[in-house]
Amino acid sequence: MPDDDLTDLKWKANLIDRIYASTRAEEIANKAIICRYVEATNQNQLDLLDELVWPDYVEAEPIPGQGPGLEELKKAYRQFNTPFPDLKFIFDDVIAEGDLVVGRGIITGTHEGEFFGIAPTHKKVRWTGTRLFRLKDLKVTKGWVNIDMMSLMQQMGVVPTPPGPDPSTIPPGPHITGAPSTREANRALMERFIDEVWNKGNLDVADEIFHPEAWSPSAPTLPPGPEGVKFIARAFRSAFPDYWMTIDHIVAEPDRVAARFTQGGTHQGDLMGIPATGKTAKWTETGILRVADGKVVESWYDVDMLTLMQQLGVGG
Amino acid sequence: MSSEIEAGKATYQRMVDEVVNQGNFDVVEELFDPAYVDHSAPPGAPGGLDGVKAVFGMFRTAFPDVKFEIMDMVGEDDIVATLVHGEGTNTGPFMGIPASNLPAKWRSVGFFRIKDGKIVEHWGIPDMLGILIQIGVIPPPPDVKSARPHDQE
Repeated sequence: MPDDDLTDLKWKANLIDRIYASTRAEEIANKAIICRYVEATNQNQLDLLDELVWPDYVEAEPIPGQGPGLEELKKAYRQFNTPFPDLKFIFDDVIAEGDLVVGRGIITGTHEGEFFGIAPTHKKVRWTGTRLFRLKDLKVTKGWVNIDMMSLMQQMGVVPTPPGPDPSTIPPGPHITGAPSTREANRALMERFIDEVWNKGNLDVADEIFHPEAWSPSAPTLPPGPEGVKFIARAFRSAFPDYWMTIDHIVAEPDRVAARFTQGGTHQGDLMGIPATGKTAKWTETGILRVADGKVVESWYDVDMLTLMQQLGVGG
Repeated sequence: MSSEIEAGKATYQRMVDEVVNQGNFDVVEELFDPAYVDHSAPPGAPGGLDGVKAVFGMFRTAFPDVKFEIMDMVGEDDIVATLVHGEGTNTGPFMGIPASNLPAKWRSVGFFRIKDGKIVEHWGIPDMLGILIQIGVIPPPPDVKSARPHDQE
Protein backbone atom coordinates (compact mmCIF):
# COMPACT_ATOMS: atom_id res chain seq x y z
CA MET A 1 0.00 0.00 0.00
CA PRO A 2 1.46 3.42 -0.92
CA ASP A 3 2.43 5.59 2.08
CA ASP A 4 -0.10 8.29 1.17
CA ASP A 5 -2.96 5.77 1.15
CA LEU A 6 -1.80 4.37 4.49
CA THR A 7 -1.68 7.87 6.02
CA ASP A 8 -5.15 8.53 4.60
CA LEU A 9 -6.50 5.33 6.18
CA LYS A 10 -4.81 6.06 9.50
CA TRP A 11 -6.35 9.48 9.99
CA LYS A 12 -9.76 8.23 8.91
CA ALA A 13 -9.54 5.35 11.39
CA ASN A 14 -8.47 7.91 14.00
CA LEU A 15 -11.55 9.99 13.18
CA ILE A 16 -13.82 6.99 13.79
CA ASP A 17 -12.12 6.45 17.14
CA ARG A 18 -12.59 10.12 17.93
CA ILE A 19 -16.32 10.00 17.09
CA TYR A 20 -16.90 6.93 19.26
CA ALA A 21 -14.71 8.21 22.09
CA SER A 22 -17.98 9.85 23.09
CA THR A 23 -20.65 7.67 24.63
CA ARG A 24 -23.45 10.23 24.83
CA ALA A 25 -25.73 10.03 21.78
CA GLU A 26 -26.00 13.83 21.45
CA GLU A 27 -22.21 14.19 21.32
CA ILE A 28 -21.73 11.35 18.79
CA ALA A 29 -24.44 12.90 16.60
CA ASN A 30 -22.94 16.38 16.89
CA LYS A 31 -19.46 15.10 15.98
CA ALA A 32 -20.86 13.26 12.95
CA ILE A 33 -22.70 16.40 11.84
CA ILE A 34 -19.46 18.40 12.02
CA CYS A 35 -17.70 15.65 10.01
CA ARG A 36 -20.40 15.96 7.35
CA TYR A 37 -20.08 19.76 7.48
CA VAL A 38 -16.32 19.56 6.84
CA GLU A 39 -16.86 17.08 4.01
CA ALA A 40 -19.47 19.36 2.37
CA THR A 41 -17.00 22.28 2.44
CA ASN A 42 -14.12 20.06 1.20
CA GLN A 43 -16.21 18.89 -1.75
CA ASN A 44 -17.34 22.50 -2.32
CA GLN A 45 -20.93 21.19 -2.15
CA LEU A 46 -22.05 24.11 -0.03
CA ASP A 47 -25.78 23.46 -0.58
CA LEU A 48 -25.35 20.35 1.60
CA LEU A 49 -24.88 22.80 4.49
CA ASP A 50 -28.65 23.51 4.31
CA GLU A 51 -29.22 20.20 6.14
CA LEU A 52 -26.47 20.84 8.68
CA VAL A 53 -26.64 24.56 9.59
CA TRP A 54 -29.55 26.75 10.77
CA PRO A 55 -30.48 29.64 8.42
CA ASP A 56 -29.86 32.17 11.24
CA TYR A 57 -26.31 30.81 11.89
CA VAL A 58 -24.07 33.24 13.78
CA GLU A 59 -20.36 33.59 12.96
CA ALA A 60 -18.55 34.88 16.05
CA GLU A 61 -15.74 36.45 14.00
CA PRO A 62 -16.97 36.96 10.44
CA ILE A 63 -14.30 37.40 7.78
CA PRO A 64 -14.28 40.86 6.14
CA GLY A 65 -17.56 41.28 4.25
CA GLN A 66 -19.32 38.28 5.84
CA GLY A 67 -22.82 39.10 7.12
CA PRO A 68 -24.95 36.96 9.44
CA GLY A 69 -26.68 33.75 8.39
CA LEU A 70 -26.13 30.54 6.44
CA GLU A 71 -26.01 32.11 2.96
CA GLU A 72 -23.22 34.46 4.09
CA LEU A 73 -21.37 31.44 5.55
CA LYS A 74 -21.49 29.78 2.13
CA LYS A 75 -20.23 33.02 0.59
CA ALA A 76 -17.33 33.05 3.06
CA TYR A 77 -16.36 29.48 2.07
CA ARG A 78 -16.46 30.50 -1.60
CA GLN A 79 -13.97 33.29 -0.78
CA PHE A 80 -11.52 30.56 0.21
CA ASN A 81 -12.56 27.89 -2.29
CA THR A 82 -12.21 30.22 -5.30
CA PRO A 83 -8.59 31.38 -4.76
CA PHE A 84 -7.61 27.86 -3.58
CA PRO A 85 -9.46 25.57 -6.03
CA ASP A 86 -7.99 22.42 -4.41
CA LEU A 87 -8.60 23.62 -0.83
CA LYS A 88 -8.84 20.70 1.60
CA PHE A 89 -9.39 20.56 5.35
CA ILE A 90 -7.81 17.35 6.66
CA PHE A 91 -9.79 16.73 9.80
CA ASP A 92 -7.43 15.55 12.54
CA ASP A 93 -9.46 15.71 15.72
CA VAL A 94 -13.01 16.21 16.89
CA ILE A 95 -13.97 16.78 20.53
CA ALA A 96 -17.47 17.23 21.93
CA GLU A 97 -19.13 18.09 25.19
CA GLY A 98 -22.80 18.93 25.52
CA ASP A 99 -23.80 21.20 22.63
CA LEU A 100 -20.21 22.20 21.71
CA VAL A 101 -17.89 20.54 19.16
CA VAL A 102 -14.25 21.44 18.47
CA GLY A 103 -12.70 20.37 15.16
CA ARG A 104 -8.98 20.71 14.47
CA GLY A 105 -7.36 20.25 11.12
CA ILE A 106 -4.71 20.98 8.55
CA ILE A 107 -5.67 23.02 5.51
CA THR A 108 -3.87 22.69 2.19
CA GLY A 109 -4.38 24.36 -1.17
CA THR A 110 -2.73 26.03 -4.15
CA HIS A 111 -3.01 29.82 -4.31
CA GLU A 112 -4.42 30.25 -7.84
CA GLY A 113 -6.69 33.29 -7.44
CA GLU A 114 -6.74 36.68 -5.73
CA PHE A 115 -7.13 36.25 -1.96
CA PHE A 116 -8.06 39.38 0.03
CA GLY A 117 -6.07 41.55 -2.32
CA ILE A 118 -3.08 39.18 -2.61
CA ALA A 119 -2.36 38.28 -6.25
CA PRO A 120 -2.02 34.55 -7.03
CA THR A 121 1.40 33.18 -6.08
CA HIS A 122 0.67 29.63 -7.42
CA LYS A 123 2.29 28.33 -4.24
CA LYS A 124 1.14 25.18 -2.45
CA VAL A 125 0.37 26.35 1.07
CA ARG A 126 -0.47 24.53 4.30
CA TRP A 127 -1.80 25.98 7.51
CA THR A 128 -3.72 24.84 10.58
CA GLY A 129 -7.12 25.80 11.90
CA THR A 130 -9.49 25.03 14.74
CA ARG A 131 -13.23 25.53 14.66
CA LEU A 132 -15.62 25.61 17.62
CA PHE A 133 -19.30 25.03 16.92
CA ARG A 134 -22.46 25.16 18.97
CA LEU A 135 -25.26 22.84 17.80
CA LYS A 136 -28.97 23.01 18.51
CA ASP A 137 -31.34 20.17 17.54
CA LEU A 138 -28.68 18.50 15.32
CA LYS A 139 -27.77 21.64 13.35
CA VAL A 140 -24.99 24.18 13.76
CA THR A 141 -26.17 27.46 15.27
CA LYS A 142 -22.91 29.34 16.02
CA GLY A 143 -19.25 29.08 15.04
CA TRP A 144 -15.93 30.44 16.26
CA VAL A 145 -12.66 30.07 14.38
CA ASN A 146 -8.91 30.34 14.87
CA ILE A 147 -6.81 29.80 11.81
CA ASP A 148 -3.08 30.32 11.47
CA MET A 149 -3.44 33.17 8.95
CA MET A 150 0.04 34.37 9.94
CA SER A 151 1.67 31.21 8.61
CA LEU A 152 -0.46 31.45 5.45
CA MET A 153 0.65 35.06 4.88
CA GLN A 154 4.29 34.05 5.45
CA GLN A 155 4.01 31.24 2.90
CA MET A 156 2.52 33.66 0.38
CA GLY A 157 5.48 35.94 1.02
CA VAL A 158 3.28 38.84 2.26
CA VAL A 159 4.70 38.72 5.80
CA PRO A 160 8.39 37.97 6.51
CA THR A 161 9.22 34.48 7.76
CA PRO A 162 10.93 34.48 11.18
CA PRO A 163 14.52 33.17 11.28
CA GLY A 164 15.23 29.63 12.46
CA PRO A 165 14.60 26.13 11.15
CA ASP A 166 11.58 25.36 8.97
CA PRO A 167 9.06 23.82 11.43
CA SER A 168 7.87 21.32 8.80
CA THR A 169 11.34 19.70 8.74
CA ILE A 170 11.36 18.94 12.49
CA PRO A 171 10.54 15.29 13.32
CA PRO A 172 7.48 14.71 15.54
CA GLY A 173 7.87 14.11 19.27
CA PRO A 174 7.07 10.78 20.97
CA HIS A 175 3.46 9.55 21.00
CA ILE A 176 2.99 9.13 24.74
CA THR A 177 -0.02 7.12 25.90
CA GLY A 178 -1.47 6.43 29.33
CA ALA A 179 -4.66 6.14 31.31
CA PRO A 180 -7.43 8.65 30.57
CA SER A 181 -8.73 10.97 33.30
CA THR A 182 -12.22 12.39 33.68
CA ARG A 183 -13.82 15.39 32.05
CA GLU A 184 -13.86 17.18 35.39
CA ALA A 185 -10.15 16.51 36.00
CA ASN A 186 -9.17 17.68 32.51
CA ARG A 187 -11.26 20.83 32.82
CA ALA A 188 -9.56 21.58 36.15
CA LEU A 189 -6.14 20.91 34.53
CA MET A 190 -6.84 23.45 31.75
CA GLU A 191 -8.14 26.03 34.24
CA ARG A 192 -5.09 25.60 36.46
CA PHE A 193 -2.73 25.90 33.47
CA ILE A 194 -4.30 29.18 32.32
CA ASP A 195 -4.75 30.63 35.78
CA GLU A 196 -1.36 29.76 37.27
CA VAL A 197 1.05 29.70 34.33
CA TRP A 198 -0.44 32.34 32.04
CA ASN A 199 -2.34 34.71 34.33
CA LYS A 200 -0.21 34.60 37.50
CA GLY A 201 3.12 33.75 35.88
CA ASN A 202 3.77 30.81 38.23
CA LEU A 203 5.76 29.11 35.50
CA ASP A 204 6.95 26.22 37.68
CA VAL A 205 3.36 24.94 37.85
CA ALA A 206 4.00 23.80 34.24
CA ASP A 207 6.26 21.09 35.76
CA GLU A 208 3.21 19.58 37.45
CA ILE A 209 0.94 19.86 34.39
CA PHE A 210 3.19 18.79 31.49
CA HIS A 211 4.93 15.44 30.88
CA PRO A 212 8.74 15.90 30.55
CA GLU A 213 8.57 14.80 26.89
CA ALA A 214 5.30 16.56 26.00
CA TRP A 215 5.44 18.28 22.62
CA SER A 216 3.34 20.56 20.47
CA PRO A 217 2.89 19.99 16.72
CA SER A 218 1.90 23.69 16.61
CA ALA A 219 5.30 24.82 17.92
CA PRO A 220 7.79 22.01 17.16
CA THR A 221 10.82 24.33 17.50
CA LEU A 222 10.16 24.82 21.22
CA PRO A 223 12.03 22.64 23.75
CA PRO A 224 10.02 19.56 24.87
CA GLY A 225 8.04 19.35 28.10
CA PRO A 226 7.41 22.15 30.60
CA GLU A 227 10.52 24.08 29.41
CA GLY A 228 8.88 24.90 26.05
CA VAL A 229 5.71 26.05 27.83
CA LYS A 230 7.71 28.26 30.19
CA PHE A 231 9.67 29.73 27.28
CA ILE A 232 6.56 30.86 25.41
CA ALA A 233 4.72 32.05 28.54
CA ARG A 234 7.80 34.04 29.61
CA ALA A 235 8.08 35.59 26.13
CA PHE A 236 4.48 36.86 26.16
CA ARG A 237 4.39 37.83 29.82
CA SER A 238 7.58 39.90 29.53
CA ALA A 239 6.31 41.60 26.36
CA PHE A 240 2.91 42.28 27.98
CA PRO A 241 3.52 42.89 31.73
CA ASP A 242 -0.26 43.30 32.31
CA TYR A 243 -0.95 40.12 30.29
CA TRP A 244 -4.37 38.50 30.91
CA MET A 245 -6.13 35.44 29.51
CA THR A 246 -9.72 34.19 29.90
CA ILE A 247 -11.29 30.85 29.05
CA ASP A 248 -14.45 31.64 27.07
CA HIS A 249 -15.50 28.05 26.28
CA ILE A 250 -14.18 24.69 27.38
CA VAL A 251 -14.83 21.26 25.84
CA ALA A 252 -13.53 18.29 27.80
CA GLU A 253 -13.33 14.56 27.11
CA PRO A 254 -11.63 11.89 29.25
CA ASP A 255 -8.33 12.12 27.32
CA ARG A 256 -8.30 15.68 26.03
CA VAL A 257 -9.58 19.15 26.69
CA ALA A 258 -10.05 22.07 24.30
CA ALA A 259 -10.65 25.69 25.16
CA ARG A 260 -11.27 28.93 23.41
CA PHE A 261 -9.37 31.86 24.93
CA THR A 262 -9.28 35.63 24.77
CA GLN A 263 -6.06 37.29 25.87
CA GLY A 264 -4.50 40.71 25.84
CA GLY A 265 -2.23 43.31 27.39
CA THR A 266 -0.08 46.36 26.75
CA HIS A 267 2.98 45.80 24.58
CA GLN A 268 5.76 47.19 26.80
CA GLY A 269 8.62 44.77 26.09
CA ASP A 270 10.31 42.95 23.20
CA LEU A 271 8.01 40.30 21.67
CA MET A 272 10.01 37.74 19.67
CA GLY A 273 12.11 40.52 18.13
CA ILE A 274 9.36 43.16 17.91
CA PRO A 275 10.32 46.14 20.09
CA ALA A 276 7.72 47.56 22.50
CA THR A 277 5.03 49.65 20.77
CA GLY A 278 3.10 50.70 23.91
CA LYS A 279 -0.08 49.56 22.16
CA THR A 280 -2.89 47.60 23.80
CA ALA A 281 -3.85 44.39 22.03
CA LYS A 282 -6.55 41.74 22.43
CA TRP A 283 -6.64 38.50 20.47
CA THR A 284 -8.18 35.00 20.54
CA GLU A 285 -6.85 31.46 20.51
CA THR A 286 -8.05 27.86 20.58
CA GLY A 287 -5.93 25.32 22.44
CA ILE A 288 -6.19 21.56 22.82
CA LEU A 289 -4.37 19.47 25.45
CA ARG A 290 -4.09 15.67 25.19
CA VAL A 291 -3.82 14.06 28.62
CA ALA A 292 -2.33 10.69 29.66
CA ASP A 293 -1.88 9.55 33.27
CA GLY A 294 -2.99 13.00 34.42
CA LYS A 295 -0.28 14.93 32.50
CA VAL A 296 -0.41 16.87 29.24
CA VAL A 297 1.51 14.85 26.62
CA GLU A 298 0.62 16.73 23.43
CA SER A 299 -0.87 20.14 22.72
CA TRP A 300 -2.14 22.16 19.77
CA TYR A 301 -2.66 25.93 19.54
CA ASP A 302 -4.15 28.14 16.86
CA VAL A 303 -3.49 31.75 17.80
CA ASP A 304 -4.84 34.80 15.99
CA MET A 305 -1.32 36.25 15.59
CA LEU A 306 -2.41 38.22 12.51
CA THR A 307 -4.85 40.31 14.58
CA LEU A 308 -2.18 40.78 17.24
CA MET A 309 0.36 41.99 14.67
CA GLN A 310 -2.20 44.32 13.06
CA GLN A 311 -3.01 45.84 16.47
CA LEU A 312 0.69 46.35 17.14
CA GLY A 313 0.95 47.96 13.70
CA VAL A 314 3.53 45.49 12.36
CA GLY A 315 3.35 42.95 9.50
CA GLY A 316 -0.02 41.96 8.00
CA MET B 1 -17.07 -32.21 9.15
CA SER B 2 -18.11 -32.53 12.75
CA SER B 3 -21.78 -32.36 13.58
CA GLU B 4 -21.04 -29.44 15.90
CA ILE B 5 -19.69 -27.40 12.96
CA GLU B 6 -22.64 -28.38 10.82
CA ALA B 7 -25.07 -27.41 13.57
CA GLY B 8 -23.16 -24.14 14.08
CA LYS B 9 -23.40 -23.23 10.39
CA ALA B 10 -27.13 -23.97 10.42
CA THR B 11 -27.54 -21.82 13.53
CA TYR B 12 -25.63 -18.95 11.94
CA GLN B 13 -27.72 -19.24 8.76
CA ARG B 14 -30.90 -18.97 10.87
CA MET B 15 -29.41 -16.01 12.76
CA VAL B 16 -28.88 -14.15 9.48
CA ASP B 17 -32.23 -15.11 7.93
CA GLU B 18 -34.46 -14.70 10.98
CA VAL B 19 -32.78 -12.25 13.39
CA VAL B 20 -31.00 -9.87 11.01
CA ASN B 21 -33.07 -9.99 7.84
CA GLN B 22 -36.54 -10.46 9.40
CA GLY B 23 -35.97 -8.79 12.76
CA ASN B 24 -37.40 -11.78 14.63
CA PHE B 25 -35.74 -11.45 18.04
CA ASP B 26 -37.96 -14.20 19.54
CA VAL B 27 -35.55 -16.85 18.20
CA VAL B 28 -32.44 -15.36 19.89
CA GLU B 29 -32.82 -17.74 22.88
CA GLU B 30 -32.89 -20.72 20.47
CA LEU B 31 -29.73 -19.67 18.63
CA PHE B 32 -27.49 -18.22 21.36
CA ASP B 33 -26.17 -19.80 24.56
CA PRO B 34 -27.32 -17.93 27.72
CA ALA B 35 -23.60 -17.37 28.53
CA TYR B 36 -23.02 -15.66 25.13
CA VAL B 37 -20.12 -13.16 25.06
CA ASP B 38 -19.66 -10.68 22.20
CA HIS B 39 -15.98 -9.65 22.18
CA SER B 40 -16.72 -7.02 19.51
CA ALA B 41 -19.77 -5.40 21.07
CA PRO B 42 -20.04 -1.68 20.37
CA PRO B 43 -19.41 0.62 23.36
CA GLY B 44 -22.38 0.76 25.71
CA ALA B 45 -24.09 -2.41 24.42
CA PRO B 46 -25.49 -4.69 27.14
CA GLY B 47 -23.96 -8.14 27.66
CA GLY B 48 -25.45 -11.57 26.92
CA LEU B 49 -28.54 -12.14 24.82
CA ASP B 50 -29.74 -8.56 25.39
CA GLY B 51 -26.58 -7.48 23.54
CA VAL B 52 -27.59 -9.54 20.46
CA LYS B 53 -30.96 -7.81 20.42
CA ALA B 54 -29.35 -4.40 21.00
CA VAL B 55 -26.73 -4.77 18.23
CA PHE B 56 -29.09 -6.09 15.55
CA GLY B 57 -31.88 -3.80 16.78
CA MET B 58 -29.47 -0.91 16.18
CA PHE B 59 -28.68 -2.17 12.65
CA ARG B 60 -32.39 -2.59 11.86
CA THR B 61 -33.12 0.93 13.18
CA ALA B 62 -30.32 2.48 11.13
CA PHE B 63 -30.99 0.35 8.02
CA PRO B 64 -34.65 -0.88 8.27
CA ASP B 65 -34.29 -2.71 4.91
CA VAL B 66 -30.99 -4.33 5.97
CA LYS B 67 -30.09 -7.59 4.22
CA PHE B 68 -27.17 -9.78 5.19
CA GLU B 69 -25.98 -12.45 2.77
CA ILE B 70 -23.53 -15.14 3.82
CA MET B 71 -20.76 -15.30 1.23
CA ASP B 72 -18.68 -17.98 2.94
CA MET B 73 -18.58 -20.10 6.09
CA VAL B 74 -15.60 -22.18 7.22
CA GLY B 75 -15.56 -24.40 10.32
CA GLU B 76 -12.89 -26.09 12.42
CA ASP B 77 -13.11 -27.61 15.92
CA ASP B 78 -15.82 -25.50 17.56
CA ILE B 79 -15.29 -22.28 15.53
CA VAL B 80 -17.28 -21.14 12.49
CA ALA B 81 -15.77 -18.24 10.52
CA THR B 82 -18.10 -16.23 8.31
CA LEU B 83 -17.80 -13.65 5.53
CA VAL B 84 -20.96 -11.60 5.16
CA HIS B 85 -22.18 -8.97 2.71
CA GLY B 86 -24.59 -6.44 4.21
CA GLU B 87 -26.56 -3.66 2.60
CA GLY B 88 -29.36 -1.29 3.44
CA THR B 89 -30.62 2.30 3.35
CA ASN B 90 -29.62 4.52 6.25
CA THR B 91 -33.02 5.98 7.17
CA GLY B 92 -32.53 5.84 10.97
CA PRO B 93 -29.76 6.79 13.41
CA PHE B 94 -26.64 4.57 13.21
CA MET B 95 -24.78 4.24 16.53
CA GLY B 96 -25.81 7.76 17.47
CA ILE B 97 -25.21 9.29 14.03
CA PRO B 98 -28.31 10.90 12.47
CA ALA B 99 -29.79 9.26 9.34
CA SER B 100 -28.29 10.22 5.97
CA ASN B 101 -30.95 8.54 3.77
CA LEU B 102 -28.02 7.14 1.75
CA PRO B 103 -27.61 3.49 0.71
CA ALA B 104 -24.62 1.54 2.04
CA LYS B 105 -22.97 -1.80 1.34
CA TRP B 106 -20.36 -3.38 3.54
CA ARG B 107 -18.55 -6.58 4.46
CA SER B 108 -17.99 -8.11 7.83
CA VAL B 109 -15.93 -11.03 9.04
CA GLY B 110 -16.95 -12.94 12.15
CA PHE B 111 -15.66 -15.84 14.22
CA PHE B 112 -18.30 -17.71 16.23
CA ARG B 113 -17.64 -20.36 18.86
CA ILE B 114 -20.35 -23.02 18.94
CA LYS B 115 -21.46 -25.07 21.96
CA ASP B 116 -24.26 -27.65 21.69
CA GLY B 117 -25.37 -26.08 18.40
CA LYS B 118 -25.68 -22.58 19.89
CA ILE B 119 -23.45 -19.50 19.48
CA VAL B 120 -21.54 -18.87 22.69
CA GLU B 121 -18.80 -16.37 21.67
CA HIS B 122 -18.27 -13.87 18.83
CA TRP B 123 -15.30 -11.92 17.52
CA GLY B 124 -16.03 -9.78 14.48
CA ILE B 125 -14.91 -6.88 12.34
CA PRO B 126 -17.56 -4.97 10.42
CA ASP B 127 -16.29 -2.48 7.81
CA MET B 128 -17.06 0.54 9.98
CA LEU B 129 -14.90 2.81 7.82
CA GLY B 130 -16.81 1.76 4.69
CA ILE B 131 -20.18 2.38 6.36
CA LEU B 132 -19.18 5.81 7.71
CA ILE B 133 -17.78 6.83 4.30
CA GLN B 134 -21.01 5.84 2.57
CA ILE B 135 -23.24 7.66 5.07
CA GLY B 136 -21.19 10.80 4.54
CA VAL B 137 -19.35 11.10 7.85
CA ILE B 138 -15.79 10.18 6.82
CA PRO B 139 -14.34 11.47 3.52
CA PRO B 140 -14.11 8.90 0.71
CA PRO B 141 -10.70 7.81 -0.63
CA PRO B 142 -9.27 10.51 -2.91
CA ASP B 143 -9.37 8.53 -6.18
CA VAL B 144 -12.81 6.94 -6.01
CA LYS B 145 -14.96 9.68 -4.60
CA SER B 146 -18.20 8.49 -6.16
CA ALA B 147 -17.59 4.75 -6.15
CA ARG B 148 -18.92 2.69 -3.29
CA PRO B 149 -16.98 -0.34 -2.06
CA HIS B 150 -17.87 -3.52 -4.00
CA ASP B 151 -19.38 -1.57 -6.93
CA GLN B 152 -16.48 -2.79 -9.01
CA GLU B 153 -17.44 -6.45 -8.54
